[in-house]
Amino acid sequence: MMHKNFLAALFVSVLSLSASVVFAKPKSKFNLYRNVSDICYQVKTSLSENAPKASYGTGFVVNAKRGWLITNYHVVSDVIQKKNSTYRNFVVIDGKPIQAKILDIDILRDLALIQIDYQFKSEIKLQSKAIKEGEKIFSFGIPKDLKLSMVDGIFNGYLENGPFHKILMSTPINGGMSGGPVTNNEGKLVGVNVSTLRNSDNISFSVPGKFVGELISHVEEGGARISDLDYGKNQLYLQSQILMGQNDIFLAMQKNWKKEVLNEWSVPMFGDLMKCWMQKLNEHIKTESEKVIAFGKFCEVPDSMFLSSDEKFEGTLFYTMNIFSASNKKLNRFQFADFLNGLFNSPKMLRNENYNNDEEEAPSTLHQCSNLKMKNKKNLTFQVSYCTSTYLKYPKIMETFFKMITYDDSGNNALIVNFILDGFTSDNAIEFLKKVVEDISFQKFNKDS
Amino acid sequence: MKNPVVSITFFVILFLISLIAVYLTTYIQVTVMAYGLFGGFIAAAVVGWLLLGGLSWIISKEFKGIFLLKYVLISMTATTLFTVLFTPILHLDHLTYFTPIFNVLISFIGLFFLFQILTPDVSRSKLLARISLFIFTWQTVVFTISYFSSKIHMKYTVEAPGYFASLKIKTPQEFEQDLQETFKAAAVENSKN
Repeated sequence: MMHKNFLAALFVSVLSLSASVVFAKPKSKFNLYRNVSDICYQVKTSLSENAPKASYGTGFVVNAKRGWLITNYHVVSDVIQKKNSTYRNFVVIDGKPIQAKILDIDILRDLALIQIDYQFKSEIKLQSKAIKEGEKIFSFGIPKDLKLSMVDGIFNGYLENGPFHKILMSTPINGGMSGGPVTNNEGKLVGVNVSTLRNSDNISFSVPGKFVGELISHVEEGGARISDLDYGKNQLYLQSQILMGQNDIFLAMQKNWKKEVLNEWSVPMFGDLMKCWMQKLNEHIKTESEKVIAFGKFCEVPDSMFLSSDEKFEGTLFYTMNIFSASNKKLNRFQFADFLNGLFNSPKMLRNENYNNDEEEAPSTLHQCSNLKMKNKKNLTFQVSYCTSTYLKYPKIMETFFKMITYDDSGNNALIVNFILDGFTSDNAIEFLKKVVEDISFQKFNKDS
Repeated sequence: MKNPVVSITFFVILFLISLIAVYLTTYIQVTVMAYGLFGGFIAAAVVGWLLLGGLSWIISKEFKGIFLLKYVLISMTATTLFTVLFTPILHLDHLTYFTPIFNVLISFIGLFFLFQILTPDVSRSKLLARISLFIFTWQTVVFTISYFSSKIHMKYTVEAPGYFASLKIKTPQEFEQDLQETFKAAAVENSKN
């Protein structure tokens, strides 16, 4: 799945940091490294101070007096995501781990503000001037548990996709640098290392700095509702953030709602929000390629929200869509129906079966499914199969698989649409599905009628 | 019957007629099934009975003979085995082009046996009755199996064309209501945990 090509991300920025000491303007890479090394630390998750680390990343100081650091949510998430977790987060200063408390998180941007009982000497300052494409930037972090490293790269601009905002960088960041700062040559904060594009060379992403400032302001205004020790309270808080995020995604989908032509079908698309590729035809289709003309499209929202590193979870909330149109050229009715049946039956839906068989704890409830036939207002008949379930941890978050097939009047042109809506509320999912069904039409059918 | 040219001609004609008859039967089965599985099952059995019964009447007109029950049983057993084996292996439900091919093959084997065993001692009406009984039983067995295999298939996947075909077409309002109820059921499921 393409969404797995992106590692979870993080955001770093500071709008107004009440810095006691802001480090001096560096005049060289040497100064830059030295100054950032004073505010950049390893953040690790482990059972105790001296226990081996379960995971690690980087954090940097945003408020020296209060001991506040910014890192990625995915770096510290295990402590609040796992029920009865005995894990704790630590900031390692001069080799000594100091236990950290999570003050607030921004799950949509993959940011966390943490606090330790320690007074730092300096803190980072937010870049106030607009940075231009092509400018040199510097990423900091502690890769592979080694030591603080500085890598230079290029700022390639902002990627704004609905509620998802990222900086596209040409910077070779590595595992362990998550949560580290991205600065300009003056050492001012531009972003926060968050992810790399898998199977690519030096294509990486960071969270724009402004979101760091927003997170800090949220805490200062008393908006945070998180506690390292209260699992139930944390889940509610996480759910409220997921709901806000997915609502923004839903609004962006509606805003970008367009119609596109696929073969002779008019189908809904979502503008730039979804990235689409021609679907790779499987063996079944190849064998029939001369007898059936089939076009496929695979689309997804390329960004996703990181939920948990727990392997039982997909780890992300995402949205994908498969569309196939097929025109029968040489097959008889049975053969064409069998061909479509093959398309319609794949992929399998019910993820929960695996968990039930292994008696493992499933992330969601058993799927509730429905199979029906319906006619839309354009007089097209659809065969519809869908299954939905809710996340056990987040009862308002639905995971919905939706498949439908429709034919034109001749029975020789068919359209198959599959959706995975992972993270929608039931109201939004219903609204979305209704709209998709009503927005499909067959052009020849319409011209004749 | 002794003339090899006549035998071969009859053999070919028989094959072609049975091919057309069985293909037509299958087509009708599938079409009628669009109005419901049970109705399709009954209608297909009746149509198959009439079509192949008619064919057997033509045969019996030309060749008088006796119908041996053991050959009928062999044919039926072969049909059942083919259906049981190939339905799950080749994912054969109702709408598949393999079905008429196997039907033709099996019916041909059955009718070939009949051709071999025909004797001038049995009355035409008796022969017709026996062949009709064979065809009716055959259709019943095939469709009973395919009905249950479809049910079993349904249990593991949520889609089966035969099942969809039997569903009432919902209006957009009824579709929304279905969505509401299913999503609500998922929420109720969560509250049990």
